[in-house]
Formats: sequence, structure tokens, C-alpha cells
Amino acid sequence: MSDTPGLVIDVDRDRCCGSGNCASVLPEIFSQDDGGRVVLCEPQPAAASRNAVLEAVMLCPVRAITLRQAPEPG
Amino acid sequence: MTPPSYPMPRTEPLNVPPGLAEVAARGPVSRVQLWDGGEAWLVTGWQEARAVLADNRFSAALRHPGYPHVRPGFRGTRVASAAAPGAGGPTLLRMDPPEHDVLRRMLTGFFTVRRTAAMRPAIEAWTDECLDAMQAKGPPADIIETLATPLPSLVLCELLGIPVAERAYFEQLAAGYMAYGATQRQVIGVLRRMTDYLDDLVTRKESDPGDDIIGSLIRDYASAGLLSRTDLLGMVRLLLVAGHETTANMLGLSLAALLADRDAWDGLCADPGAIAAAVEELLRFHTIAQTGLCRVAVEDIEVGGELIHAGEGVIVSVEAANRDPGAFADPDVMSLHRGARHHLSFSFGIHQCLGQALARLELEVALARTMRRYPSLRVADGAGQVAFGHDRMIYGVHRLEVAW
Repeated sequence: MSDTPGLVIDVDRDRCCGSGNCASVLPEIFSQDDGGRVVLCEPQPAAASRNAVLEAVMLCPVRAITLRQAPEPG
Repeated sequence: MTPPSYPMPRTEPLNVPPGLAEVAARGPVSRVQLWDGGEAWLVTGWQEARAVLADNRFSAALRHPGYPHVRPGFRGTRVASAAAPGAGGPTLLRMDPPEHDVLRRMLTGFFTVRRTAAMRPAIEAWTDECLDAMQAKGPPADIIETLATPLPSLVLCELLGIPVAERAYFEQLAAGYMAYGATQRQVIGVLRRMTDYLDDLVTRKESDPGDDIIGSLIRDYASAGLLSRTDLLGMVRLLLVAGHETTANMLGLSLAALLADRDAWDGLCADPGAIAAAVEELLRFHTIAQTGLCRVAVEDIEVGGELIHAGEGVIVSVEAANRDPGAFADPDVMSLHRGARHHLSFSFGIHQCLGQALARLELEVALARTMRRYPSLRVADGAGQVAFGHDRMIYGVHRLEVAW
């Protein structure tokens, strides 16, 4: 078990411009609907995906992906 | 002191202009002088470039008096719709929200990662056809003429639903539009011919719109009154020019750069799995948008310690930002295993390249198929076998005679 609380991903589909960067970098977490807008498949990524998630956040050209800490359990 | 003039000349064909590094060394945002004696801000820092491109208070519209026109011929297009009837309206690259967003959303579904990946077998087949034509012609043969130019055209013909027989005509128009030294009269002339051609193309497709992009736009939007003829023609013009000139030049430049570095070429031939990462580095290192991305501040905004006033022109130098040591370690070294995707070669913000997944795929497939079939490919013997496109808005290679 990791001591650090996990991350929760939020996506803003209204901001999304359909660049597809997130779906390219992390297809198991991000997808696109038929119109190209982001679809969040896994809002709470495994700790091992942390760096790739941070990359997806950085690559989003319209900052439609944000992160917050998961609430402490219990 | 007069600021340095922009754009700056290259001294080495496979490297950025040394003058750009001098300007970047002064700070991430500084002043440059344009061809007409006017001045603009040049953004050279990676962080600052992202900040400008992602901030909609920097307008991309040509109508602002302070818009920084980097080439003489482009001044004319600002007034084209009024002074030159028939030259067409602005494309979505030169629109701001909310108009821009409405049009872009009509297109994003055609360029998803999923739809793009599904094109791989077709792109492989077209690449092989192009290489067959090169085989029949040489050695030596010009790989720009036989592969780098036709491949993106074949992809566009399929996507847009344009007869392949018409590709030579639109390639010629796209090249004319991108000529840096074109006069105002020439640019307007090219725009008129392109608008006439696209208007005729759309008319031909109206009676039987297919599932391609033009057919879908006609059926889903134009026929329902949701998309004007001017905007439809502008969208198709953008897809043709942006989809062709960029990919063709980037492919030509990639081939030239790799053939100029035998170890790099041989290394990728031996390890094709590394080609996708190499494409990212080629995109970063050999940035083709050599005249920058232009904006106008619509409010006073501070960027990189400089106060940019409302109405002032801003040019984002993607070339310089891609060499920012704060964003890329040893930025002046082409390191094919770097695998850094955060370069700005596809821009940033709402105007970021719609077809970036497709461009990456075309580059990867074309390089991989060429290397597999011709591991011993080399630049043909003799002088003048490589001609670089210094005279274009989009940098690239005009001619690359190869032997095998």
C-alpha cells in the first residue's frame, strides 16, 4: 500500500478541443467520443500511471484535464 | 536600437537560424522588426509560448490592424474579402471563439486517435505504391516527387473525397499559396483559383455526398443551414493546405535529416520500433513552421516579464520554443530516443493541429516502409541533389535525389 493518497482526474468536456493527446498517451484512461471529445474511462489511475497522467495533463492544449488528491479513506 | 529583423535567414539547412538563438538569449519575449518596418513581440520561451497560444485574449484574427504580417504578400489577404472578391473568407485558423469552436467541432470527429489508427493499412499501401513508382523511375529518383508529395495528397483525397486525378492541381495551388516571396497580387490570384476550384468541387459533390469529410459537412451541416458556403470552402481550403504542405515538407525534411546522419538512419533501420519516438524528435528539432504563429493582444497582458499592450502583434517562434533549454535538455542535439511529445510543432491552445495523430502516423509509416525496403538508401552522387525550401512559409525540401 502506498502512503500517498491517490490522484483523481477531472475532465472538462466543454473545454476539450479534441486534440487527442490524452487518448494517445494513456488509452486505458482517456478515450474520445465519436465527435472527438474526451471520455474519461478511469478517474482514479493506479499509482504506477502517475507520470503518464502528469504528461497527459501537460500535453492538453486547452487545460481540460485537472488533478486533485483523492479524499483520505475512512 | 533597432530590433533584429524577423524572420531570420538560416546559415545551415538542417538547423535553426543563428539569429534566433541570439534573440532567445535576450529573454523569452523580445522585440523584432518586420519587413515593413513595423515591430512585433517575438516569443521564444517554451513556457511563454504555451501561455500565449493557450490564452484566448491573444486573437488569431487577421482583421486587427496590429496583426504581424511576416510576409509582404500576406498583407493583401487581410483585405481580401473586401478588396478582392472571390478570394474566400478566413479559415478557422484565423478565427477566435465562439465562431472558431463551432467550426472546429464539425471536424474533430474525423481526426480522432481511433479513426486515424484505422487508416494505417491504407497509408501503408499508398506508401508502397509510391515506393513502387520510385523504383520504376530510378535510381536515382527524387523521393520528394515520388513519396513525400504524393503520400499526403493520397491521404487527403481519401479523407476529403477528392478525385486522385485532381491532386496535381491542388498541390500546385497549395505550393503557390505558401511561397514566401509571393506578391499580394499573386496571393490573391492563388486564393481565387483555389476558391473557384473548391466551389466547383463542392458543387459536384452536392448531388451525391459520400461519407468523406466534404460529403459529411454538406449533408450534416451545410444542407441544414448550419454552415455557410464561405465557411465550408474555408474549411476545405485549410484542410488541403495544412494537411498537405506540412506533412509533405516534414516528411521530406525528415528523410533529408536522417540521410545526412548515417548512424541515425542505420540505427532506425535496425530498430524500427524506435521510429515513432524518432518522429517526435524530428518534429521538435526540424520545426517546419519557420515564420512563427501570429497573434494580436486584445487586452494588456504580461508575458515573460514584458507587458504586451492591447493591439500589439505577437509572433510565437515555435522553432525557438522547441530549443528552449528549460524545456528540453541539450536542445540543440537531435536525440532520436528523446521521445518528448511536449514540443510545440503542432502549436498549443485551441488551434492545435487537428490532424496531428494523422501526421504522426503518415511520418512513421512512410519512414518505416522506406527503411525496410531501402536500408541502403543514400543521397545520389553529384552536386545539387538536395534543395531546401528557404523560400516557403513552411520549411522543407523541394528536391531530394536518392539512390539505392
